[in-house]
Amino acid sequence: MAELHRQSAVDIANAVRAGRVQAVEICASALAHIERIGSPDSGFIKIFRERALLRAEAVDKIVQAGLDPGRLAGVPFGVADHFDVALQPTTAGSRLSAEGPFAHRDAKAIMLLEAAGAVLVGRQNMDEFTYGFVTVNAHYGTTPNPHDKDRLAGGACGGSAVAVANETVPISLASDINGSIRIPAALCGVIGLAPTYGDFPNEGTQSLVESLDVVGPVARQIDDVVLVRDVLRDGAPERSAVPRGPLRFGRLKGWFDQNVEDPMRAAMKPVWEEFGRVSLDLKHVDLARAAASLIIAAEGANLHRASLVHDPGIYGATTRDRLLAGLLMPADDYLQAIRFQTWIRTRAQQLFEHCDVFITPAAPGFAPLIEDPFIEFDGVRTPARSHLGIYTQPISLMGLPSIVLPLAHSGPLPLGVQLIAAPGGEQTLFEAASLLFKNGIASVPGVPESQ
Amino acid sequence: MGVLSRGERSRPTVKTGKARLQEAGLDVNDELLEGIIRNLVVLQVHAATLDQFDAKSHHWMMEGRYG
Repeated sequence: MAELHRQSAVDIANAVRAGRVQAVEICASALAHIERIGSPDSGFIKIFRERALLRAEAVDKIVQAGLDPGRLAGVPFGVADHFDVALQPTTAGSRLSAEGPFAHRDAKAIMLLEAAGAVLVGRQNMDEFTYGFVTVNAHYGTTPNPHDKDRLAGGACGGSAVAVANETVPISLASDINGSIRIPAALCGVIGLAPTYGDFPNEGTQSLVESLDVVGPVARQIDDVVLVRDVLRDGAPERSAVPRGPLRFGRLKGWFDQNVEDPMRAAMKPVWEEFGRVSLDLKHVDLARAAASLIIAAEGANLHRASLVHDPGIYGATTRDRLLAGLLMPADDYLQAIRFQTWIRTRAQQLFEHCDVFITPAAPGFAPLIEDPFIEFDGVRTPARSHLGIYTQPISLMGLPSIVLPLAHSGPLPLGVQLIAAPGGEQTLFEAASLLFKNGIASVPGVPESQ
Repeated sequence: MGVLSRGERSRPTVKTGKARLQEAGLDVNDELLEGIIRNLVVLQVHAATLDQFDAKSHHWMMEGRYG
């Protein structure tokens, strides 16, 4: 029988609520698996063993008392390293706060999951302050791709995707400014949701760019994503309903057809045959990506200004150089980016008059090699750290929710497809995702046996 | 007086970058400047891309691009 913690969140919770298995068993099994793989390869860089086992014991006691511990009863989960955990320093992939200050309380998203019976087991590796697409961290090491240890996991929240792909936990929470959930989900073969801005609470996360950052789940099952979203929204009403009748799919061309590598082009072929009959050559995507890059540089640099002045050496070199460059940006450039963002967000909503869901590749191709972290962009060898998110960045700037699913026929390594809906259209995304899984276009690959 | 577009601005150098960082209140060692300048040039390229958007009128200077 498969180890208990490898099951879906829905199955674990059902088993715990029914008293068929104890939350403590699940928790111990997950912790053993994480320790067996080790850090940073497991995706985890901090384990809260005592807290997790105490929490699991409490869940079991609730069941033993004949009460319901909640819809996520006994489900182990991890969070990216920039989520506050009570009595711990929030390191956010950095050394800056390694000695404190200590968080007074858990991040709101952790509170909500644990109130539904879930069990936090640890925090996961990421690019320093989520600034990058690679999870190559100067302080906590590189978390490799579980499908090929010589390759990048993607980032910024790569540890969260790796932990789920490794089956150490069924769900992780991370955040996404520009693709930090979706890129590692695509490269590691799991599901990643970047919801509409504000859909989930982000209180208690140390965000680099609060104006764009969204908290979201990573999982192996679409039902788990739906369940986690439901718990995190805490009863808030939906902003929009699923459209009546069959969903109308559309293919975004133009920018999203450029720089696509051959394996991705081949893997997308069945997607286009099934769902690509309507296509739109979306304009100004290059401007959206440029605006996103400028907003992140300016807001991130401003947030870190005092620390950069005090001790620039405490930052990893790559992060420090990017943040210091951001400090030199003219205000005019930042304002131009903000004005463009306002304009394109209004225009982007018009896209959905004729389609409910748009489809694009999630990333250009397979995960790049750790030793050669570059991709081809417009014919130029370009750092993966800043360019893996070329298809996710513009969507974030446009304020659109999107979900990444692993493609079933990707070849030797995972590849991801991105589904995009109108703001508030998460339920539409879930219906579309379910259809892709049902049609055999999407499928979550297993990881090598050694994991 | 001439006003350059964002794409026509001069590229930063180690010398000008150091001066601008000092103006911003940061005294950075010379060995750090190369990486900072490289990133600043990338940001300039992004800013130049946004020159196509006319912020004043929110009117597209390249009419017809939107399909």
